[in-house]
Amino acid sequence: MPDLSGNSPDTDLNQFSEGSSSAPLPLSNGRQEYHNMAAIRGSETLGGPQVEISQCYVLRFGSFTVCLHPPAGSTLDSLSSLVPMEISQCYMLRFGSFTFCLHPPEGSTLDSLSSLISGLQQHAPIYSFGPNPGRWPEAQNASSVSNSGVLIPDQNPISAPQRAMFSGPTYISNPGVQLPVPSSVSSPRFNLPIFNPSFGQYSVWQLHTLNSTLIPNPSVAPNSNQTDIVNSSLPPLTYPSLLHNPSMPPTPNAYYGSVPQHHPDNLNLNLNGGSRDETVVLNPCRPSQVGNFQAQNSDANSNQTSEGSATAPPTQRGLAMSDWGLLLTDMIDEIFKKLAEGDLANCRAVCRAWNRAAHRTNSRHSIPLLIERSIQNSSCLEILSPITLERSIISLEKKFADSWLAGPAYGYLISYERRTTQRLHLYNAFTKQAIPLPFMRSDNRASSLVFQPSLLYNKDTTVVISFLGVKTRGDNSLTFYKCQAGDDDWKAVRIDDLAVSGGAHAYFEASYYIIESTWGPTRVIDPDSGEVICVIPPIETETSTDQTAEQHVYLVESPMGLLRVSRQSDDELESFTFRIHCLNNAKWERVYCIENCTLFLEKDHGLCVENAGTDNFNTIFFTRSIAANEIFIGSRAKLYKYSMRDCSTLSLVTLRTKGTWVVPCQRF
Amino acid sequence: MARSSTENMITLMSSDGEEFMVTEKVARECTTIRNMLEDDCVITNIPLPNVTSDILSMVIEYCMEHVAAAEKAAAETAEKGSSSAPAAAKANKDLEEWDKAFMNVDVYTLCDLILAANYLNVSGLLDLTIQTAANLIKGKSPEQIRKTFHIQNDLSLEEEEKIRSQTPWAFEKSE
Repeated sequence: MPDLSGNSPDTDLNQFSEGSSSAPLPLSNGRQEYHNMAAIRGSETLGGPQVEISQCYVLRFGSFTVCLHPPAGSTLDSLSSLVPMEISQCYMLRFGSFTFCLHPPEGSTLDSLSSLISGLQQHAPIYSFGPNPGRWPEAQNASSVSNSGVLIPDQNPISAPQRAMFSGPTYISNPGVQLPVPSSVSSPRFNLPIFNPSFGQYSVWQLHTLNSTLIPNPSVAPNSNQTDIVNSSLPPLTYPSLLHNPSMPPTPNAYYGSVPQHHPDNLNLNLNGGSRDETVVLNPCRPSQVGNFQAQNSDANSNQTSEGSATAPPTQRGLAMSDWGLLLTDMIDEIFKKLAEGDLANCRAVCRAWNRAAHRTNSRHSIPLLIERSIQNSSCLEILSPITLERSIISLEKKFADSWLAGPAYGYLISYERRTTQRLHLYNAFTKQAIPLPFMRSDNRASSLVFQPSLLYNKDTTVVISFLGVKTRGDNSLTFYKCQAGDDDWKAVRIDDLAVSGGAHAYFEASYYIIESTWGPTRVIDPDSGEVICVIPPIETETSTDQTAEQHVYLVESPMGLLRVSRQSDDELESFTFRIHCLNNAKWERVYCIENCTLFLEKDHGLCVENAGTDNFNTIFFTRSIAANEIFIGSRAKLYKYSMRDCSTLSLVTLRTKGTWVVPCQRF
Repeated sequence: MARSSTENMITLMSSDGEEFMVTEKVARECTTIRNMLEDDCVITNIPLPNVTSDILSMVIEYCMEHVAAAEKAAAETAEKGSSSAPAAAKANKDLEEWDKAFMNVDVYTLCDLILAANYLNVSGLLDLTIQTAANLIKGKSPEQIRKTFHIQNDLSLEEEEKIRSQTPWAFEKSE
């Protein structure tokens, strides 16, 4: 806690306010503002990647901190000798070599900030302050932005942990919005046009300059030949010293920023249309001393300027802040997170900024939706998002109105008819595209049974379906059907001697896998010959209750390999335990964490999706029939979310059927 | 550190210079302000350069209502020893109703409120405004969304066609 009345570290370090008391002086309006300011200047050279630290001033206004170029030679140490509080309360925003520091989130450390900054440096795309609001260069003609250039970190390339640091109240991600530069009532504002080459647009920044002294360095003229801002070699620029110390009387000489005269990273802020001999000092706390120091004169002029700007803002503000198209990208992301897929798709077609935001927000494009047939209208499908739990309806092509669909899949489900003819298709319910598959001859499938296949695989122009035939005498059979693009028939492999009905099966790396019973071995079968290639030994039981408890086994293809997922249920408590084994060297090995993967399970298989959002990492979504003693007609099921982290299950929603998972993409 | 008797009153100053006297408790609903207060306990006058007076007054109204509701709930709990579930549920419902009525604003105000809630870090208000905005989007076609939020369509016809072709299923309702 800084003690403002005493010798706080701030004052010790604040070499720019030498000779002045750090206790706040009552200002002319009697208000006490921005008690504290520290500007730091170090003396050692900093090695390593944290050059930005060595290039910023840290200015503290109350609890608001701005970081501008510190003199060369500042070190992390010299900056860390700032009261820790200050570092812990600033965001570092980097514009080229020009860095702003605003409140960072709690818990930030110098390390986290410096790694943030070095991260920004690598990824910073180029934006530029236009040289002259009066005549902005053409958007396409970026190279004509001659005498100024500033880098603003684009948020996109910043990695997740770095982005997380920006979660607090700051305006950084949208170059079209205001920075919370300290300001107040009578604050003159000025507009900074910002060129954003990736948007090909200009936007205007309104910079508040209360208590700030903004000094374009007159001694360094812009070099108009250096135009190559695109490869981020900044033109030589002067930079402003945004300094404030209310404890010092704001006299014309009140700007005490040490401005290296020929700093290679100088930044030029041309406030007033291009005259290089202009030095603007604004201090609205003392309007009489606000000056436009063109050859140290025109005091009255500047008074008008400052008053004029103070009254102008309402309309400007309306433009700058109430524009939904330009709403902070962070805020748009937050809004989009609340939307279901259909609405999000609509948002993408609203405008460019929203399109980008929807793309960015939507890692959910890869998240499967649960599809089931609509109960009201048989020619429609109901889609449920497992994330938002919102339902939407899509219509089926007439041709497929009587068909059944089976998944799970990316994009294309398999459509089949239950009864007589067996014309099979791959059908994308989202794009309504259908791909015909070979005709399923009746002698090729288990006769006299309702045909109800499962889709095992539909990638790389290979489709594998399976059909489990249960005959009356308990003689169960499982048939795999495989076809590849160009085939005119299915290649069937029939397994007759199944011990129990059901059991998980899968097609993985060109072999069929069957687990007949929970504690049984896994058979690996060659799809061409139908021969058993090898047998994977069963998994070991872990507790004594394992053998007795109800178990359900799934086989899921994942980036880690084939996963054997077993679910142990306690139906009364609706409590579940999942155990995952991964196939490794023809053995099942226990896996305790699936990291950034999310499993979406149904029946005895499922999809494994990577990067489905941090909330969904290491979790399992699964559907499960609920007891038939419910009063509802028809089969009922529930969707659950299980967290591998704390082994907790969340019951999400009741379903009419178990549905099937499909990722709404066009991939095949 | 001597404290005056008015230590609980904080003056918030909007960008257009209007001053709002609020209790410290209300001001602390804004995490940004709370952080400032915790750093500088003597601060009594906080300029908020990014918030206009009309928006700031709304934010304060929201904070006051929520502080009052929380205080009332706490008082009831203290009175009865334990909070009665129905009463708490009713209070919650009342507050929800109030929030709902509070959100009956035009989209410009809503936009400003989102920015202000973000800047001042009022999590409840941020959630409320974000959800309200999301609700406004739901079930609307792109054209309806643009109309609702007064957004200029800067997409070319080809771009828009491309976007639509990528997700044709999403646009069924609007056709």
